[in-house]
This record gives sequence, structure tokens and C-alpha cells, in this order.
Amino acid sequence: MHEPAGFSIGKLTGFIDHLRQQDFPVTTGDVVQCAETLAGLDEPDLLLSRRVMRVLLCRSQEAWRIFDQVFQAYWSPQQEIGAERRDVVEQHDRTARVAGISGTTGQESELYDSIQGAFGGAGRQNALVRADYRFLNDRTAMKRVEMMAERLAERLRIRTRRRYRLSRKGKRLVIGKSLSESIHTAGVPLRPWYSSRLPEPPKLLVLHDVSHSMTFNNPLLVRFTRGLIRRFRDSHAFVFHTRLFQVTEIFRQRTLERMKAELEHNDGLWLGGTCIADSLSEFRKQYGKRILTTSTRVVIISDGLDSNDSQRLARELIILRRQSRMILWLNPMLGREGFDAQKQEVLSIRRHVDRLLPAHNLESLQNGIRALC
Amino acid sequence: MQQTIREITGQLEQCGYIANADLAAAVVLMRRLGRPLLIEGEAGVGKTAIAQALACALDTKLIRMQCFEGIDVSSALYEWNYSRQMLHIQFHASRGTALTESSIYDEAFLLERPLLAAIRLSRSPVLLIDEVDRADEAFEAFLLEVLSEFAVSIPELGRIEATTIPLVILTSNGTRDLSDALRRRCLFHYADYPGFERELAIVSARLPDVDEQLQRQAVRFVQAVREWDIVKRPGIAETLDWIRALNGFSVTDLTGCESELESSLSCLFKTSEDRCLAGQLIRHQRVENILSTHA
Repeated sequence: MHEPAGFSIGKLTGFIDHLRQQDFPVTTGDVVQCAETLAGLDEPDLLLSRRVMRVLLCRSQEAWRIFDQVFQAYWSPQQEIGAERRDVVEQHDRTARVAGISGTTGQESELYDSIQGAFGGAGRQNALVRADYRFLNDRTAMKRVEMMAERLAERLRIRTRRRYRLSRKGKRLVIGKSLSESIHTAGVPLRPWYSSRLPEPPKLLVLHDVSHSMTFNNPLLVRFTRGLIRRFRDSHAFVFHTRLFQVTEIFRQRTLERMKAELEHNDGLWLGGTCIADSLSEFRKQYGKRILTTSTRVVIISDGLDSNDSQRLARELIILRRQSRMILWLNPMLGREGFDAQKQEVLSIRRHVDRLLPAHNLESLQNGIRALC
Repeated sequence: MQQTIREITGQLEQCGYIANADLAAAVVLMRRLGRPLLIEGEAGVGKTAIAQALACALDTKLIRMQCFEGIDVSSALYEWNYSRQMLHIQFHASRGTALTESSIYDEAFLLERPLLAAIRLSRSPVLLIDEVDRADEAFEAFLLEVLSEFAVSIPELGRIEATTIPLVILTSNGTRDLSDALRRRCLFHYADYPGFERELAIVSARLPDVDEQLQRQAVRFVQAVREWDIVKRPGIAETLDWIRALNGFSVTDLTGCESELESSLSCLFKTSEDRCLAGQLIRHQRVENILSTHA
């Protein structure tokens, strides 16, 4: 391997290590090609080298966006001192904000409300104590909700499975289309058209906000989500607050006792602050490729109180909407008295999802499911 | 390499495409390393246009393959012309002449689709695989095989090797995350919305007859609009359409032309929510203020 102009191989491999630490998937082949290309440059030029490396070593939009910063930090660290200082100050402020918050009791709830800069009381604090899942025990009231959700999910499943499309292969001949397509050959050869079911059955994805601010609404909504997940075969459930957790198998447990035991078994699953944009981003990166298709219907159940920047949330919703069939946002606050539906944050969410509907009672949940069909 | 980048930038400019240095470097590397170039970005930022401009700049053929959900090998690679084969069989049957299988599966009955056409040309073409994210994962895997070997196997004819390696440009709007394997085989470029100067240069190159003041104001306005919280931010194509529309209304100055501005907004905003929000913001903030805050 030739020595790249103006770079030592050691420093280049150091930079590659630095990139890998930032989750850049750089292979050995990339390193060799990068070194060879840099060696082929007429004269050493940091700007041109950056351009070349960016084209060769980036694989995604996120990587592309941060590459310059990472490059700058490695090759010209003296210019980054100011930025680093800012980071240190910011980090200090953040730790000061979240120190000592567990996020479950009344006292701490007051502490939540006192946090500056968080929209509607949403914070970034993680769940540090176990949540109380006794709200799942009210059998008679909650069973009704779950059965209703199951019925609705069944209706949704049947409706969405009913869709057909024209194809060259299949079992049901579409006579009109076959004849019209064969006119120009006078029927010989006849090119038949068939109708067939969509190749991929619809998927359902539920992203459920279980942060502290949803405590009041979750007894109803958790049972609702469980009903959907149990009935809809190709469905996935995630809960989120400041982090994201996959709970599909937990929600599919046959009895509530088992579900409760499973929930209790997982620390930090419930309650805490709310980082919706972070959670959506985490979902997209970790599970997006496997779950999101053009047939996936996404249901987000959240009050929308978020500590992330609203523009970031908007950006994540745009990407999610593009990669799925539709987004339905069920907001339990919408139907409640005194809630301002014209808030900037609510309007912003409304613009980036297909439907934003209330979810405060059984009737509103029914409407939500109808919107999915 | 700097020299080559400058040359390709100049050539693209002559074909009406104003490329930034990053994109020009990516194009130069694509040619030098013989690897496909994957361009991601929002709709309307000039991903498809780069392939057209490159074909024009290199004076070569552009072969375009538009991907869609359900695209298969027969739409991308080749297909036998069944109706012609049937006629051929009937013709020989009516004359009572013998027919061999090889005469039916002859090149004369082969319908070339974009991928096969691209590797059989004597002069290296630009192959544009547009919106690859719309194709299924199975097709993406097939594409990987073709792009790594540049050879295809047709059972009846045998293996067809590429006579020249095409310059392959893949574009993606991000409706689906592409596989890591495909990304690994490609060079990558992210096409972002252009800044004020570059967009103005594009507008001047594409619409030289439009009044210069209108060009500047319109581009400044669009730059401001892209910072609003809207669903679909306008791309360069929308900017050009909008300026054409304004020019059609004989507008030379955006300030004081609220009615024409209002009427032409549909060129810029593609959803009813965005259209409604934009109307409100323009009435509330006034055009002068929008332009002055982004001066």
C-alpha cells in the first residue's frame, strides 16, 4: 500500500479507528481503497482529502452530516477547542437538571414540572425505580377495553387483507383487463391478467409512550395496545420514554399475570422522562429495516409532551412517514377539557402525521382504528 | 485530481448543471474507481439531473431504469418477445418447415431491458437506477450481483459479459433503508438543498431570460421557506417552476405583488397543509420581512 500524500498510514488508520468509534461501518477494503486514492492525489490537500474520504467512507445521511465535524476534530483539533468547551458546559447543565430524579412519586412529579425548557413537563430523566403495575389488575373494566381492541384489530386485519392487485400470475382471472391487453394481438397470444393479494401482508407497529406524563392514561391504553398486538399477527409493539424497548412478546403473553411478571422483570421499562424524537430515531436505526415497509401502519400513542427539539421530532416523523404506509397518532390529551389543541407543538405533529386523533375514551379509540383501515 | 474536479465541474456547467465540489469529487472518484455512486437526498434536489448532465458532459448515452414496487428481472434485464416467438412458430408450422429450439431462443427475440442494454453498449453509458429504494429487497440483491460482476446469465444464450463498464448512478429518496451490502458497494453522496449562491447560479443558468431582481428575490424567498416547519420543502425543480410562473405573471419585484404570489404558491407547495400554512405566514410576516430576514 502506498503512503498517502501528506498523511502517514498510522495517522490514517487512527482516523479510521476514530470513525469506527462514531459507528461508521468502515471495512478493511475501504481503508485500502482510501489510502490508495489519497496516495494518487497530485498534491496533499486537506480539503480535497476530506471530500475523497467522505465519498468513500460514508454510507448514510447521518454519517454524511457528521463527517466534517469528526474529520475536523481529528485532523485540526485546535479549531474544536471552543466547541468542546461548549459541550462541557452543556453537559454540566444537563447533569445538574436530571440529578436525583426518579420520576415516579408525587414529589418527583413536582420536580418534573419545575424543569426549565422542557415542553409541558417532559424531561430527559431515566426511570430509576420500579413502576407499579397494579393498574393492570382491574379485570372487569380493562377486559372490556382489551376485547374491544381485539375486535377492532380483527376488523382491521380483515379489511387490510382484502386488498388485491393486478398481476401476471395468480388464480383469479381478470377478464376485462386480459381482453383489452390482448386486442393488439387479436387475441393470439392471449396475455392473461390476474388479481392477486398484495405480496406482503400489512404490518402494524405500535409505539407507546409510557413516560411519567402518561401515567393517568396508560391503564386504558396499555390494554388497548395489548388487544391490538395479540390479534394482529404481524404486529410489533415498543414502549418508550427516554429509551425504547421492544415489548411485543410481553404484550402477547396469554395471561395478564404473566404479562405483569414480565414487565416487572425488566427494570427501567416504565416511567421516566420523554424523548420522543430520540426514541423514534433509535427505533429507525435498530429495527427500521426489518419492520418498516410500505405496508406498515404506524400507531403512535403519546401525549406529545417531549423534551426533544420539536424540529427534530418533525424530521423523524417525516422519515417515518416516508418509510411506512401511514402514521396514526393517538393523543389522550386531545379529548380532554382545557387542553389547547392549537399549541405549536400539536400543530407541528398534526402536519407530519396522516391522522392525529384523541384517545381518551373507548369511542375515540374506535375512531382511531377506523382511521387505520 | 483538483484539475479533474474543475474540469468535470465545468463540463457539467456547460450542460446546465451547477455541481458543488463535493459532488464533482464523487463523480471523479466514481469514474476513477469504477464503482457505482449512490446519491441520497430529498426529492427535487437534482439527483436525477446529475445523471442526465453527466451523460451530456461525457457525450455518452443515458440509460434510465425507474424502480418501483414489484419490479422484477424481466423489467430490468431482459424478456423474451413471446408474441413474436408465437408468430414465428405459426409461420413455420403453416409452411411445414422444421423448427429448432435454438432458432426460437435467438437474439432476434430478445427484448433488452436497461441493465442488459447498459452492459452491451460499445461505449460506456451512464446507467441511472432511479429511486432504488422503491424496489423490493429481493431485487436489490439481484442488483448487487449485476453491479459487482457486470455480467448476466441468460439460460438459453449463456453468460453475457459487459463490453464496457457503465457509469452507474443510483438515487434514493429514503422511502426504505437500503441494505448495508448495497451501500458498501457504492460510493456515497448526500445531495442537500443548495445554498443561496448555488441556487441562484442554477436559476440563472436555467432561466437566463428572467429578470435578475426576481431571480434573487425568489431564491431568497425559497431559502426562507425551507426553514419553515412544513411537510414537503420545495426543491430546485419547484423553485424553477415558481419563477417561471411569476415570470408568466410579468412579476419583476416580489414586494407588492401579493395576489400573484398567492396565485403561484401551488408551484412551491405540494400539500394542502403546507399551502395553507404558507398563506398564513406570508400574510402575517409580509414578503418584505421574509426577504429582509434572509438577506
